[in-house]
Amino acid sequence: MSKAPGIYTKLTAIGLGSLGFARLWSGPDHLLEVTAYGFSERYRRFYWREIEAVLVRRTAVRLIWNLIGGAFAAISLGGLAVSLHYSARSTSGPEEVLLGISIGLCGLIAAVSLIVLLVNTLLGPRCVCLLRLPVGVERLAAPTRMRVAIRMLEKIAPRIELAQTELVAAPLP
Amino acid sequence: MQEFSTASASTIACPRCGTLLAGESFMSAGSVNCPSCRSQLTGRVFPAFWSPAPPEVQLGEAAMEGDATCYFHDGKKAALACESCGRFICALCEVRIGSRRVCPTCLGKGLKGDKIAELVTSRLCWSNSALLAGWLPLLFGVVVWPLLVITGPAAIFAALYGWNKPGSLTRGKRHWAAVLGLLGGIGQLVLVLGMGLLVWNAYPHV
Repeated sequence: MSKAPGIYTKLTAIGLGSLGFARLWSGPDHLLEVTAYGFSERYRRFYWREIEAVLVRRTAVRLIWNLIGGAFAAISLGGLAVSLHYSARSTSGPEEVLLGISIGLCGLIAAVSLIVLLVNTLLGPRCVCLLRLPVGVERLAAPTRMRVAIRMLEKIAPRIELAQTELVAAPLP
Repeated sequence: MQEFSTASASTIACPRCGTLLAGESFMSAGSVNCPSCRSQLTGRVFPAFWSPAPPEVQLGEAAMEGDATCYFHDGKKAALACESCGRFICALCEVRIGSRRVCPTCLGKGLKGDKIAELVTSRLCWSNSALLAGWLPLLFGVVVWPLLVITGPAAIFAALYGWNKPGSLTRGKRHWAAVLGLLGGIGQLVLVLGMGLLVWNAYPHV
């Protein structure tokens, strides 16, 4: 009686949700949200015919992460500059070893922070996606980037409209 | 969870501040800024937003002479056949799961036996478990190698026990992951044995 895998098509790339890695799949009559925790998966279904509205709200999470990454990068680059300044002057011995460790550590932290900063900036603004259903509002665990969310909305809108064709004839307010 | 309420039929509340926005604002593509908190909102409303379907309550028609009757109610006219077991059921007994219509007995069986895909809300992925238990400890296990005595057999168990268990709803059983997990588990046991022999040879008096 269970349906074989293959009835679902991927809607979004896997993204880090609030509790695990989440991804949206498009089913024959519903939207499936899969949150993976490594050993297990959790499923939530939203039927096309029941979705009243989809709302995407832009958030400031990207800015916050960029500020944190920027602060780390600035501090570590400062440390790197100071270490390089003193290493040029230093003679030899344990001081040189300590400066070497400091340069390596500050360089590593700066590199990682700058990569995080760059990737976070390139991926675009963050968002939250919400579905309005007859029984209330559900927040989706994914997608969390505006660009992906808009693309997802463009993909699911025709499917929702198709499932609600019998309601189109109803008079608008 | 409740970030924008369904307070009024034709309005949507801003998820951030709760200000009511007209549903018409979301009929076309493009974004809208909340007049109160300036949140940038992008969205779409669908026909169900304007005309929510009223809940249909059907009690089932009384059966006339010669009519097929419901399997569960003798006096009710059969409205359809269960899509799982084929029993004739009345409108009252009809349970809709997605696009399918089943009888209450099949619904109960499906809930217990994890048989109806639409009712599955979570699943343990045995192949993933085997893969993780088989290979993750190997990354750290060399330092604390006695740990592999537990994780190695666990990986082998997960791979073999879960071989015929239902897999992920979207990605299937993933036998390749189970095989990799099995190999990882065997590798861990070999490693533990090797380390044990090394320790035994280095300190034979222990």
